[in-house]
Amino acid sequence: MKLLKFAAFFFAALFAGLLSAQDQQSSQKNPDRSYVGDYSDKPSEIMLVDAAANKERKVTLKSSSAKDFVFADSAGGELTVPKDTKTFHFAVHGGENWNRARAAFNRGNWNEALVYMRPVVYPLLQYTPFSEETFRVHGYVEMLITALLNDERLVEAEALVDALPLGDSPLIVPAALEVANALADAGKVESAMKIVNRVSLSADEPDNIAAYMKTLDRIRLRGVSKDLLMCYTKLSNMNGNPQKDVATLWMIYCDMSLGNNMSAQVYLSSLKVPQDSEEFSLSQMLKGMYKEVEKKIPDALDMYAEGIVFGKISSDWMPELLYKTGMAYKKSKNFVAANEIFLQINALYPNSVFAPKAKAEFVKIEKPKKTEDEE
Amino acid sequence: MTVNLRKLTAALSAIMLFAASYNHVSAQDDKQIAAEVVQMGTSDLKKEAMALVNDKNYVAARPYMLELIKRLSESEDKKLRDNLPELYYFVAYSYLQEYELNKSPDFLKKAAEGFDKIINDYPEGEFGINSVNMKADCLMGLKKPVDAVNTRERLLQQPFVGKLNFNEQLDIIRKNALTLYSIPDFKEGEKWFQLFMERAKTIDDKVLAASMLIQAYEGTAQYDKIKPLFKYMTSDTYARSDIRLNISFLRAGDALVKAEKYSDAMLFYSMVLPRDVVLKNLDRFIALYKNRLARAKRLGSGSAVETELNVLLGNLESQKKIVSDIADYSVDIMARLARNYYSTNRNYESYWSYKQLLSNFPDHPNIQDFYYAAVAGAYAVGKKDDMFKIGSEYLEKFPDGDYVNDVKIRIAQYYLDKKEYDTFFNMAKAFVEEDPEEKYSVEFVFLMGKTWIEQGNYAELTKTFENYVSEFEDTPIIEGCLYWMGLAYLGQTDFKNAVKCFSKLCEEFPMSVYAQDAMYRNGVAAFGMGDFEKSRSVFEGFIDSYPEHELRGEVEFFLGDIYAGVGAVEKAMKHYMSVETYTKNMAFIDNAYSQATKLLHTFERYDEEFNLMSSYAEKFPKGNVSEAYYSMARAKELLGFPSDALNLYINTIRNCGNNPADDGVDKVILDFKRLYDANYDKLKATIEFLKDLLSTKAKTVTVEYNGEKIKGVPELLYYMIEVPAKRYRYFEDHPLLDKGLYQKFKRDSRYGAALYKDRTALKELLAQYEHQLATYPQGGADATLKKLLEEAKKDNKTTLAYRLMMGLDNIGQPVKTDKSFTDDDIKKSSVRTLVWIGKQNYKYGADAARKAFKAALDRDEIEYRIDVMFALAELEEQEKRWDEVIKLYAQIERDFPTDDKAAIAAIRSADAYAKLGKRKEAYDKYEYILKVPSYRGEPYAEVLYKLGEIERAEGHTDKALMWFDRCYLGFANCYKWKGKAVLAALKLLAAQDRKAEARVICDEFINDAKNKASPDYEAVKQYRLVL
Repeated sequence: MKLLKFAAFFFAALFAGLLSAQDQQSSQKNPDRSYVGDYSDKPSEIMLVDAAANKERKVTLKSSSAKDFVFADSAGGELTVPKDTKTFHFAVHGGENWNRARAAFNRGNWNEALVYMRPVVYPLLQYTPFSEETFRVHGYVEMLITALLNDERLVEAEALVDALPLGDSPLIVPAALEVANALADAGKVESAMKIVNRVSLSADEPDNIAAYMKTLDRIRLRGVSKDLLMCYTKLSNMNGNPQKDVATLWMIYCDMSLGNNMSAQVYLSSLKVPQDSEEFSLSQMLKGMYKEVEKKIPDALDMYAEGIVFGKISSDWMPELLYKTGMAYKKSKNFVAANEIFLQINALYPNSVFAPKAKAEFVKIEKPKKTEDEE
Repeated sequence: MTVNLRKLTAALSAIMLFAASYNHVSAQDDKQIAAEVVQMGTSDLKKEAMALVNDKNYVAARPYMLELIKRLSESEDKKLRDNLPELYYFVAYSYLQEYELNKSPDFLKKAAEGFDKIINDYPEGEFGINSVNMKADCLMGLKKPVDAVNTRERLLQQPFVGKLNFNEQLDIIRKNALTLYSIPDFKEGEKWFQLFMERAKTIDDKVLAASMLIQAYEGTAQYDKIKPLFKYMTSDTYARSDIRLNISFLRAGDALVKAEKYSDAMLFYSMVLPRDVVLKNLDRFIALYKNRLARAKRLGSGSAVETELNVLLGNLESQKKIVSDIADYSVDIMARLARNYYSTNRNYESYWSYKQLLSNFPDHPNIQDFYYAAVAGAYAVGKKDDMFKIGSEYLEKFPDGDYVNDVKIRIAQYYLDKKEYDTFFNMAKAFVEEDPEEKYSVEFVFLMGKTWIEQGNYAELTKTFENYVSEFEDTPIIEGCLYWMGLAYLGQTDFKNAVKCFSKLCEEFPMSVYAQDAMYRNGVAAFGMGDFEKSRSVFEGFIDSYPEHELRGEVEFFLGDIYAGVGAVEKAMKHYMSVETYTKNMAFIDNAYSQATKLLHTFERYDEEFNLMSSYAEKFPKGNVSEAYYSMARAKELLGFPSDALNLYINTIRNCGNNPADDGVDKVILDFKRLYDANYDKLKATIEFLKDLLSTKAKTVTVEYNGEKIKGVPELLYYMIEVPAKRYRYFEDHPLLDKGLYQKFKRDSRYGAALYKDRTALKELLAQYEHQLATYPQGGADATLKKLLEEAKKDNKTTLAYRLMMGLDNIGQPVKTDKSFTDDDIKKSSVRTLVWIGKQNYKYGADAARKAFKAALDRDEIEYRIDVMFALAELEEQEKRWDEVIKLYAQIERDFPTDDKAAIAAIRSADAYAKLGKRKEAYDKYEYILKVPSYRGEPYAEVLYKLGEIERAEGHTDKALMWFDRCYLGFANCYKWKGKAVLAALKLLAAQDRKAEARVICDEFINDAKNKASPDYEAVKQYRLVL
C-alpha cells in the first residue's frame, strides 16, 4: 500500500498546480460491476518511443499471442514486439480525460476520477504483460485499483484483477493483493484466496512477498483453511524468501488450527528461532498453543510470556499472542493479570478482531471489603 | 514580464537550502545605479531588469525594478499596473538573494515585507500563494516560527485555499505542525497536530501526527487523551522511532506509576522502543527511503518528490546521530516494565523481564536487585529449577550480597520440594545456628518443624529444638521451636511434654503467631493426658480469647467430651451441639453427634438419643445417615419398640444399602438377626407379663392406697410396685422380660401405687407391645434378609445384594454363589462385603481372594479394616505364607492397639511362630502379650494355656504346671481355657504319678456347676475315672 500511496503522490506532485480550480463536474455514481467488457473492443492508441531520435510514433495493436504483440503503424507497417522486450519502449498520452482523472484523484474525488480513468486505463489492460520499464501501464492500473478501493467498488476491483495477468509486477501484485485484502475484510474469503492463488512470487521481489503475507494475515483472521496452509507451505519452501521463517511459523499455526498437532510439533521442535528475531514471539505463541493442547496451562503461559517480553508490539501477531496470554491467565484464575492484558489489547489494538473478544472476556473483580481494623 | 513560475518555485527551496553564488553588487554601485535608473527610459529599464532577472541576478535588477514600480504605480494604464505584483515579487525575492550573500537578517525582514505587500494588496494574483510561502520562509529565517505558522495559515483561508488541492493543503498543515513540533511549542502546536491528524491520509502521516499529539498531551499530563492514539503506535513507520516520542512514553509511564496507575503505566512503558531498536529502525528506514529516492529518480517522479525524500533522509540521518549519542536507556525501560508486570500480577512476564535484565546487563549497579526479582519471579511461577539455578548463581557471585538470606530460604524450599531432605536440613541448621536472630531463621525453624512432623521424625525434631531452646534463649526462633516440639510430643502421645511446651509458648509468647494454635493444642494435650480440668480451663480460655477462631468448633467438641466424662450431660450436650455452629468440618460434626448419642445412651435417655439422631439425619442427609439410623433403632429397641427398630433397619438397608462407601449399613445388616431374635421372644414374654399384671384371674391382694383399701390387686403387680426384692428376683428369673419395665417400676411414678386404682398406663404399655408384636417382620431374620435380597436383585442393586449375601452368610444362611467375583463386583462392594467376597473367591484361587482383600485395604474406610486384615491373614495362613501372616498380625496390633481384636492378632502371630517351630519366638510373644494391660481377660487365659503347652512339649513339667495353674486359677470365668488348662494339668500330674493332686483339682473343677460351660468339662469328668 505504501507503494500505491507513493505512486499517487508521485502523480499528484507531477501535475499539482496545473489545475487552477476544482472541477465542479460531478457524475452520477455508476453501479459497482465489471467494466472489463465495456472496453474490451475499444482500440487504444499508444506511442512507440524512439528515444534516440526523440520521436514518438502512433501504433495500434493488431494482434496478440502468448509471446508477442503485433502492432500496425499509420503507414501500414507491422511490428512484432515480444512481450518481454527490453529494447522497445512505449508511451501513452491520456489526454484531457487523464488530466481530469488526476485532478479528481488528488482531490480524493474517487467516483469522478473513475469516470475519467476508465476510458484511459481499461483499454491498456492488454499491455500489462509488458514490464513497467517498457510501458508504464502498471502505474495506471495501480492508480485505478486505488481509486476503486477508495470508492468501495469491490465488484469492479475484483473483476479488474481477474482480467489482469498478475505475474510478479511490483506495482500490480501489491495492488491486486489490496483488492484481496478488501475482499477478505468483507468476508469474501474465497474470492480473496482466488487472487492469492494467482499471484506468482519470487524471492527477487521481497515487497511482493511482504504484501502477500499481509494478505494471508487478513485471510487468516477470518479463519484457517487448507488452502491457506498450502500458501504458507509454498512460502516456507521458497529459497531466498526473506520471510521464510515467518511463513513456516504460520504454516505451523494453520496446522494446529486444523488439528494437525503432531505435524505441527515436528516442525516446531526442529525450528530454531533466535530470541532477538521478530519471529521469536510468534514461535513462542505456537509453542504455547501446543502446550495448551496438552492442557499444560502454566507451561503455555510461560511460553507466551517469554514471547511478549522479547517481542515487538508492532508485530502483526501481537494482539493474538496477548489475547491467548490473557485467556491463559484467566484459566489460571489470575483475573487481575488477565484483565490487565485485555485492557492493553483494547488500548493498543482497538481495530483488531481480538479487541472485542478481549473486552468480552473481562472479569469483574470484587474488591475485598475492608475490615474495621483496616479502616 | 513573465517568468516561468513553476521553474522558479522549484528552485526556491534549493536557493534557501544551498548557498548559491550570485553577482555581488557593492554599496557604491548601488548609489551609482540609483542615479542612473532615474535617468533611464521605461523601456530601457524593462530591458535591463529583464536581462538581469534572466541571469538570476535579482539583486542587481532591484534598482531597475524599484524605479519601474515607482513609475508604474503612478501610471493610469491598468495593463501596466498589472505588472506591479510581479515586480514587487521579484524585488522581495532579491532581498532573499541578498540574504544568501551576507546573512543579514535585515534582508530577510525586507523580503518578508515585500512579500507581505503582495499578500495584502494582490492576494488573488498568481504570486499570492508563493508570496505567503516565501514570507513564511523568511520568518523562519528570522527565527519567528510561530509567525511563520500564522502566515502559512492564511493559505487555508480564502482566497488562497480555493486554489490549493487536498494534498497541497495537507502539505501546509504538515509543515505548520512540523514547525511547531520542532521548536517545540506544544501549546500552539496542539491545534495543528489535531488538524494534521484529521486530514492525514497515509499511515506515515497518521503516525507522525499521533506522535506530535502524544508529546503535546504528555507535556500537560493529559494521559487519557493519549490512549486513543495508541493504535497508531503499533505501526512500523519512521515517526514511531522518534526518540522524543519514546522519551515521552517513558515520562508518562513514570508519572502514572507515581500515581499508582500501574495498568496505564504498563501501556506507556510497552510503547517505549529501546535505543538499539530505534537505531535499527532508523537504519532500516534510511535504506528504505534511499531505495525510494532511487526509484523516484528512475521514474522521473519530479524534483518535488525527490526533494521531499531528501529532506526526510536528512532528518533520519540527524535523528540517527542524536540517538547514537544518547546513553543506552534499555535497562531503565526493561526494569520499569519488569516492575510493572509484577505490580499487575503478570508474574510470568515479570520473571522473563528480570531474566532478560540479568543476561543483558550483568554488570549493572542494580544487578543484585535483578537477581532477587528473578529468583522471586521464578518461584512465583513455579519454575523451581530455574529459581534454583539463578539463586545458586547469585550466592556464588554475591556471597555477602543484600539478598543472600532471602535467596537461601528459597533454595532451602527447593530442596524440600525435591525431597533432598539431608541437604535441606544441613542448610537450615547451618543458617539457624549461624544467626538465630535473623528473621529467616524463624522461617527455617518453621520448615524444619513442619517437615519433621510430616516425616514422623519426632526424635530428631525434639532433640534439635530442645537444643535451640536452651542455646538460643531470647531469640525469635524459640516460639517456633516450642510449637513444633509440642506437636512432636503430641505425635508421640507424650502429652506431658506437649503440655509443657505449649504452656510455655502461650505464657511467654502470647502474641506469637503460634499462640492461638498452641493454645488449642495445649488443651488437646491436657485432654490426652487425662487432665480434664486443665483441658477444660484451656479450652474455655480459648473460646473467651478467640471466639471467632476457625478451631472453635473442635474446641466445642473437646469440651463436650470433657463434660461428658464427668457426667455433666447438659453442659456436654450444649457443647456438642455448638460444634456445627463453629465449624464446617464434617468429621467433627459427625463425631459430636456420635459422642452426644453415646452420652445420652449411657444415661439411658433414649428418647433424646432418638430425637438427636433423627435431627442429624434430617440436617445432614449426606452425612453418616445409616449410623444415625442404627443409633435410632438401638434407642427404639431400648424404649421397647423393637418392631420400629427393625423397620428402621429395613429402611436403612433399602435406602442406603447400595452405597459401597457407607459402612453403617453393614453394621445394620450384621446386627439384624440379634435385634430380631433377641426382641421377638422378649416381646412375647413381656406381653405375657403385662397381661398377668392386668389379669383378674391371677392371685390378688388387697392394698392400701391414699388411705383407701383397694381389693383385687394382682399380687404380681403389688410385688412390682411395693416389694423391691421380689421385683428384682422376678426379673432375674425371667431374663427375657424387657429390662425397661424394671426401671419403670423402680423409678417412674406413673408405674407406682397409682396403678392400683388406674391401670391405664399398663394397658397402654400392653397395647404398645402388642402393636410392636403385630408389626414385627414375619418369618424370621433370615427370611426378612432374603426378601430384601430378592428386592435388591430385582432392582439391580448389586452392592446391596452382595451386602445381604454377606449378612446371610454371617448368620449361617449362606447364599450359594457359583462365580468368582470380578473387578467390577469388587468395585461395587463395601469393605465388609469384600471380606466375605475374599472368602468366596478363595474357591477360585488365593490370588482372586487377595485381590478382594487388597481392594478393601486400599479404601479409606476404617470400620471393618481390621476384619479385612484378619481375613487376609487367615488366607495367608492357609497358604502357609507365614511371613505374611506374622506381618499382618503385627500390623493389626500396630494399627488397632485399643481394639479388642488386637489381642487375638497378637496371639495368632505367636501361634504362627509356634506352627513354624519357632518356639522361642512364640514363647517371647506369648510373654509379651501377658504384659499388655489392655489384653487382660480371655486372651491372657489362652496365652497362659499355650505357654503351658510349650513347656510341656519341651518336657518342663513344673513350668508347664505353673502356667496351667495360673490359667485355671486366675481366669476362672474363662471356661474354654480353664477346662483345657485343667485337663492338661491333670495329665501332667498323672504322668508324674501325682494322682492325689490331680484328683483334688479334678474334683474341684467337676463340682463347680459353672464349669459345665467349659467344652472340656465332660473330658475332665471322664479323666477323673482314670485317676
